[in-house]
Amino acid sequence: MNHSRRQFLKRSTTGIASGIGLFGLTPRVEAVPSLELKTSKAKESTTICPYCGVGCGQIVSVKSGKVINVEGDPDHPINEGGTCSKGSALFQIANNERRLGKVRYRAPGSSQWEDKDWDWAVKQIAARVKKTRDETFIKQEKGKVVNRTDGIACLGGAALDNEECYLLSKLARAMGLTYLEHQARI
Amino acid sequence: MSVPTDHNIEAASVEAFLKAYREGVGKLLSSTSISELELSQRVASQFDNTASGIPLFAGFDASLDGAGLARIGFGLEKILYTHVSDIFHNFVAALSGDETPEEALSRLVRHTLKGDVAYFENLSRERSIPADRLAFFGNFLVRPIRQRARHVLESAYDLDQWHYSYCPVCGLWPQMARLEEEFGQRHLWCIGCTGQWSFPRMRCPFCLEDNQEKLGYLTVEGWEGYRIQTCDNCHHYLKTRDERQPEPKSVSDFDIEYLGTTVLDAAATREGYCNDFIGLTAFNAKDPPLSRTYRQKL
Repeated sequence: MNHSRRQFLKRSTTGIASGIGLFGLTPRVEAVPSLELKTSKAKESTTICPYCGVGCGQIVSVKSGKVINVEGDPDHPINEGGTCSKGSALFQIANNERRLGKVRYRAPGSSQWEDKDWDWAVKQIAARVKKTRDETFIKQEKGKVVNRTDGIACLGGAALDNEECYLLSKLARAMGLTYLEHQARI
Repeated sequence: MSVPTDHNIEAASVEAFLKAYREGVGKLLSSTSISELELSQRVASQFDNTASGIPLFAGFDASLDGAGLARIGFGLEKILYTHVSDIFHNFVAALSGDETPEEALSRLVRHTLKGDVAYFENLSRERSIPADRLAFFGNFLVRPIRQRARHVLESAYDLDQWHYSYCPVCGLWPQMARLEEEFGQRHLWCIGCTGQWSFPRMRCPFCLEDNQEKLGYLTVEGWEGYRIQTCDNCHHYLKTRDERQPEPKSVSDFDIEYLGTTVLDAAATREGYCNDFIGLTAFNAKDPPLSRTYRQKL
């Protein structure tokens, strides 16, 4: 049943107050007219745009577990609802058919991509980080203990939250990395 | 004098009602009740209080023209009886009891402007008229006064500096909201004076709940230009016009938006949410400090 507002206004089938609490008359659920209404419920959550270090506020609407809208947060003191071209395209982070859904691997020298699972990928990353670190680790320099590696660098991103950044830098320094940088420092 | 207790209201033309009300009560009341000078003096004397969260009409003892009010009261009774419901048949006589209509209506207007909930409850017991019906009649009677007062207040005070969820003029809870076209900022909309002021999106205006797990909104198929903000803490809802949606074109008329979207009230009621605050002012004149805890915007 399709109701346009103006049609409804011209010939209100429920009457003006109709027992649903209009203008303060006490609502009566049993008096609600039997219209065929399809309703759905959404939730809103505030978050921060992951793209850069400005930290613009965003409101994300979710319906049945799916992101249905992302918009600038008008009550956020930094952007007051405004978004840049990247921020206004944030919806595509969650809903994008071109987004990779699994691990893809191209072996050194190969021209072919292969599908891999996460267990394989995490083990490979750990093994290669360890191999590089072992090969490039410097224990002493000019007679002083330095315990560092110059063979690996760590680059953080604005999509990481405060706690994730802390853990990442902690891990990097524990392994002896000295080249730590962050994309959001722009 | 028997007053029907049933709320079975006949289908009516909303447009005809609005036309009759605006032409009849609005014009009469604006010319025969509180003067522009008295409203301006009220705004000037209340200015500091308004800045600290006390609505314009809190504790206001207006000087009223009883004879003029009686004429308007009977006119409103006829309009409501004709266009809304037969429960308003002989309403002024039932309201007056042993008093003259002039006295009864003057008292009703004063207490409605003050937002005196206890008055409605006592009168309801004395006259055997439901309190919500008394508040309904009183709020319609004083509406043109409130609207004029809002114009006067707006000329002296930036309503964006108002940090509360109740109306700066009437002290009433908002009955609608709109999300503005450019950045989606929420403006609450008062049924009493049709004034608007901004308020955070992620906060329930009725109970100030800000847990995002408890806040949400309903959408109704075919009504894409609207959402119904809901709170699972106090279970109240607020119809909201989303002006970022292309259709329908915004009319910026509270009555048309409010009365033209009764389908949304039906949908919200069916989902278990309610909206029964109109007769009750949010601002409690007897306990201002408590009311001021509603401040939340900064």
